[in-house]
Amino acid sequence: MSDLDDLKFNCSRRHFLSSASLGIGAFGLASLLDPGLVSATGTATLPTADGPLLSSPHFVPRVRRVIYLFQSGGPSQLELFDYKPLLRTMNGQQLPESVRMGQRLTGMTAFQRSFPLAGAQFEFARHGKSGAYVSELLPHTAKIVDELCIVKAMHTEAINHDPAVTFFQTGSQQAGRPAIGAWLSYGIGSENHNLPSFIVLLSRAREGDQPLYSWLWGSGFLPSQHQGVQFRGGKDPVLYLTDPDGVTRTTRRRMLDTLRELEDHEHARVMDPEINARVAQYEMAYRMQTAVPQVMDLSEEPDATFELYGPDARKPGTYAANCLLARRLAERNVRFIQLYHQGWDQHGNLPQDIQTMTKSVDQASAALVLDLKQRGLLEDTLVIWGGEFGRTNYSQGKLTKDNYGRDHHPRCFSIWMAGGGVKKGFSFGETDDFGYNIVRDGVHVHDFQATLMYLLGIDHERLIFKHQGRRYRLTDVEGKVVKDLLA
Amino acid sequence: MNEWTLFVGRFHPLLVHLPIGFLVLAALFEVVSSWRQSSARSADNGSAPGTPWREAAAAALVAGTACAVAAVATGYLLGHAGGYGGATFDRHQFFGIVTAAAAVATTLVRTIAMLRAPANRPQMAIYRVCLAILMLLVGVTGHLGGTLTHGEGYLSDHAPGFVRSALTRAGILDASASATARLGDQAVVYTAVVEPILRADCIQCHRGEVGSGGLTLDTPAGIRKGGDHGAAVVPGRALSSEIIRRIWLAADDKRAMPPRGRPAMRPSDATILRWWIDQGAPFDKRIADLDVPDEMRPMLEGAVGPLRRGGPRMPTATLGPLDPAAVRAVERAGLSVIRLDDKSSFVEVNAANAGASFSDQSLAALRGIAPHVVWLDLSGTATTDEAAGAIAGLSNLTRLHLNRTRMGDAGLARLGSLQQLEYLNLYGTRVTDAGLQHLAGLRKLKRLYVWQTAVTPAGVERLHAGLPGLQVDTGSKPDSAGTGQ
Repeated sequence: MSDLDDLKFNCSRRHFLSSASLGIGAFGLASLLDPGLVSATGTATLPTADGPLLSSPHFVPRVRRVIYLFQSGGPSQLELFDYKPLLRTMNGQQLPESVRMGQRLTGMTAFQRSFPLAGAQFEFARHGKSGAYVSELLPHTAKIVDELCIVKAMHTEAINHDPAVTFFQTGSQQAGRPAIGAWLSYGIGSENHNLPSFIVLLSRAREGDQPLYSWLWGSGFLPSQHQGVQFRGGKDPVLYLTDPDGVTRTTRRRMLDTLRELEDHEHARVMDPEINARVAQYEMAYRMQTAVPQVMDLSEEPDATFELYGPDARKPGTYAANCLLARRLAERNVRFIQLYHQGWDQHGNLPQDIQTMTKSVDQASAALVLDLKQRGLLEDTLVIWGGEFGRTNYSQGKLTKDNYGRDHHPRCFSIWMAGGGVKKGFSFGETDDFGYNIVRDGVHVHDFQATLMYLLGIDHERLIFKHQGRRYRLTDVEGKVVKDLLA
Repeated sequence: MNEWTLFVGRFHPLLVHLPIGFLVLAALFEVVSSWRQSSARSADNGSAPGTPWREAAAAALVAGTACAVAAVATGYLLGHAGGYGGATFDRHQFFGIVTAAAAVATTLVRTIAMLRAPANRPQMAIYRVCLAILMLLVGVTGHLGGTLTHGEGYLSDHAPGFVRSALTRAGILDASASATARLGDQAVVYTAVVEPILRADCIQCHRGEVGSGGLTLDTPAGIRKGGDHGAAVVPGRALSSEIIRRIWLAADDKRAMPPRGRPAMRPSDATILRWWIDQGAPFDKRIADLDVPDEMRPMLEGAVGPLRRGGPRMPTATLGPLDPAAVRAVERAGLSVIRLDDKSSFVEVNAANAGASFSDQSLAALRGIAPHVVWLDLSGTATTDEAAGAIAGLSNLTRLHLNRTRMGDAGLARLGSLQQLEYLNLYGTRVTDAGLQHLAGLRKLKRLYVWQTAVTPAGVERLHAGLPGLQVDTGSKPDSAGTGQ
C-alpha cells in the first residue's frame, strides 16, 4: 500500500463520522451542505432514514429551539428574585460565622476586615397567581411571573467571570471546549439551512464592564462549521457578507462553483474534513446573503412590536433590538440564539448601576416571552434568563445608608426559564434566610446543562465526541436532568 | 457427593462445545470426501482419493459421539444439582439425550457400513441421512442450551425488522410477546406486567373453581374477591394486602408464598406487585396513567420495553419503519423530514427550507408517510385552502403550524379528520369566526392561536362552548400588519 493510500485509509477511518454523515446524517455537515448539493448538482437530498449517532433526537424533543438571554457579569439575585427581609433587619451587622462556615471568598473581598450584611434597598412584592416575589426593579418581568420557572438555588464552581461564563457555556472553566450551541449544531443540526444554527447577539448597557471572548461561542474540537456566528447591530450585521460593488450574484455563484471543484480536488488528495467544513461555510455564507437581510429588516414590524419591546428596540445593537431579532430568528427555526448582555458586575455603586441594567433588560425580556406566546412559539421554544453567578449578601467596600456593592457569590443565585417543557409559574429551590447557602434543591451548572439538552430531546450522556483519546461531552462526567423543573 | 455433582456438572458448558465442533467437522469431512470421490469417478482414474477425508470423518465422528455422551452426563448432573427447571430446560435435556443417542446410532451405522464392501451404497445412504438428522439435532439442542444461558430472544431481539416479521409470521417469535415488549407506556399494567407474574408464581395452585386457600388469582374477579384469609389485595394499600405479606415472609415460614419447595418470587416481581397494589390495583389502566417512580422504571421496562419520560404526547399507534423512498419524495418536494426520537418512526415535517418553490402541491408527497407525520410546520409559506385535503390525510397529526399562511375558513372545514390534533396555530391567517366553528369536532384540541385574524371574542366564546378545555390565545393587541411573510 502506498503512503498516500495509507493516509487516505487513516483519515477516512478517523473522520468516519464527518464523511459518513454526507451519506446518512440529517445533521451537521450534511444538513448544511445538502441544499448546496441540490442546487449545484441536482441530485440527492437529505436522507433522513435510520442514520447512526443522532440522526434523530434521543427522545421526542419538548422544545425545538433555545433563546438564552445571558446576563453577563453576575446579576444580584438579592435585588431581583431572592427576597431576604432578614438582611434588611440585620443591615450593617456582620455576616455570622455560622452562615459563612469558613467557606472561601473571592480575592476581591477575602481580605476585607468586616463583612457587613447589606439588605436590598428595593421593595419586593408577590406577583401573579403563583405569588412569586419579584423586586420593583423588574416591573415587566413581574407581570409575566406566571409564565416563568424560577430556579432560585443555582450554584456554580467558578468564582470569576471568565471561568464562570465559560463553565456555563462549555461545561468547563478552561476555554477550548465546544459551546452549548455548537454541541447542538453538531448533534441535531439545523432546521433552517439558510441561517447558521447557532447565532450570537451582543449588547451592553454600561461601559467598562467585563469583556466577552469569542471562545464562548466557539466549536472547540468539533468541526468548525458548528461555531456560533455573531450578528452585529447596524448596517453590516455579518461582517464581509455583502458582495463588493460590481460583483453580481451570478459571478459569486460561478466563483463558488469553481472554488468548490478546486476544494474537491484537494479533499480527494488529503481527505481533511476541515476542507468540507470550509466549503460548507462558503455555501452557508452564500445563502445567508439573501437570508440575513430579510431577517434583519425590521421595517416590516408594526409599531405595536416596538411598543411591546420598548423604544430601544429601534436602535440596532441594544438588548431590546436583540430580543426582537431573537424572536425573528426563532420564527425561522434557528436552533440556538445566544444573547449576551454585559454590565451586571456591581462590586460597588450597586443601587445606582443595577437600575441601569434592569431598565435595559426588563421590558424587552418580558416582551420576548409575551411575543413568542402570542405567536404560539413559546410552546416549542425555551427562553433562559440568567448570569454566571450571584452576588454576596455582605457589602464589598463600605456600606453606607444608600450605597453598597456586592462581590461574586457562586454558592447560590437565581435564573429563570420560560417556554416549552418547563413548569410555569413555578419556583424551585430555596436559599437560607441570609441568602448565602442553599437549603434545598440546588441546581448545579451541569444539571442545568443536562436539563437543557434533555428539553431538546438529547440525552447529555450520549452526545459525545472523541478527541485526543478521550470522550467528551457538554456535562463532562456529571449532570443530572432536574426532573422537578419539567412540565 | 452433592458437591462433586455440581463440580463435575459445571464442566457441561465447556464440554458441550466439543461435540458440536466434532460432529459438524465429521459432516464437513464427509461432504468433502464424497465430493472428491465423485469428481474422481468422473475423471475415471479408479483410485479412491476421498479415503483420507473419510478416515478423518470417522475420527471426528467417534470423538464427537464420545464428547456428546460426556456432555449429556455432565449436563444431567448440572441440571439436577444446579436448580434448573422450566420448559426450555426440559426440552434442552430431551434434545440433548436424543442428540447423543443419535450420535451413537450414526457411529454404529457407519461402522456396520464400513465392515461391508467399501462404498456399500444403501448403508452409506442411511448413514448420510443419520448424519443430516444429527446436524439438525445439534443445532436445536445448541440453540435451546443457548436460550437457557442467554435468555429468550437473545438471537432475535436485534434482528433486522424484516427478519423479525418473517419469524413472527412463521410462528417462531411470539407476536403478542414482542408486541407487549414494545408497548412501553401504553401497555395495560395488569395484562402486560401483573398477570404474567401471577401466572409464573401463583396460578398453578390459585386457580379454577376453588383455588388453594379459597383464593383464585387467574381472573380480576378472583383477585378482587380474596380468599379464606380475607382480602388478598387491598387496592392502594400493598402493606395491608395478604398477598404481599405472604410473599415477604421468610422462606422457611409455613405460610410463605410461593410455598416451600417452589422457587421464591423474584424480588423485582414482588416490587412490581407492591407498586401495582399501591396504585390502586387497577385492571384496565395503562402504565402512562399511573405514577411511576424512578426506581420502578427498569423493572417495568424489562417487561414492556422503554418507557417515555413525559414530554409531548405521541399517538398510540404502532407503526412500521419509514419508507425511505417516500421520505425522499417528500424531501424532493422541498420539505424537511425530521425523526422525533430514536425509537418510534414519528416525524416532524417542516417547510423552513422550501422557500419560493413551495405550493399546495408540495404536500401531495406527504401521502407516502402520512401516518408517521405528527408535527407539521408550514408557517410563513404560501399554503392556501387547497392544501387542506393533503393535511386532512395526516391522521396522527398532533401539532399543526399554519401561522402566517393563506389558510382560510374553507380549508378549516376540511380538517375534521385530525382527531389527534392538540395544537393548532392559525395566527396571521384568513380564518374568521365562521371557520373556527369547524374545529368543534376536534375533541383533543387543547391550544389554538388566532392572533392577527378576523376571529372575534364572540367566535372564541362559541367554540369554547363545544370544547371547554381549549385554550385560545388571541394575542396582546390585534393589529392588521402581518409580519415576516
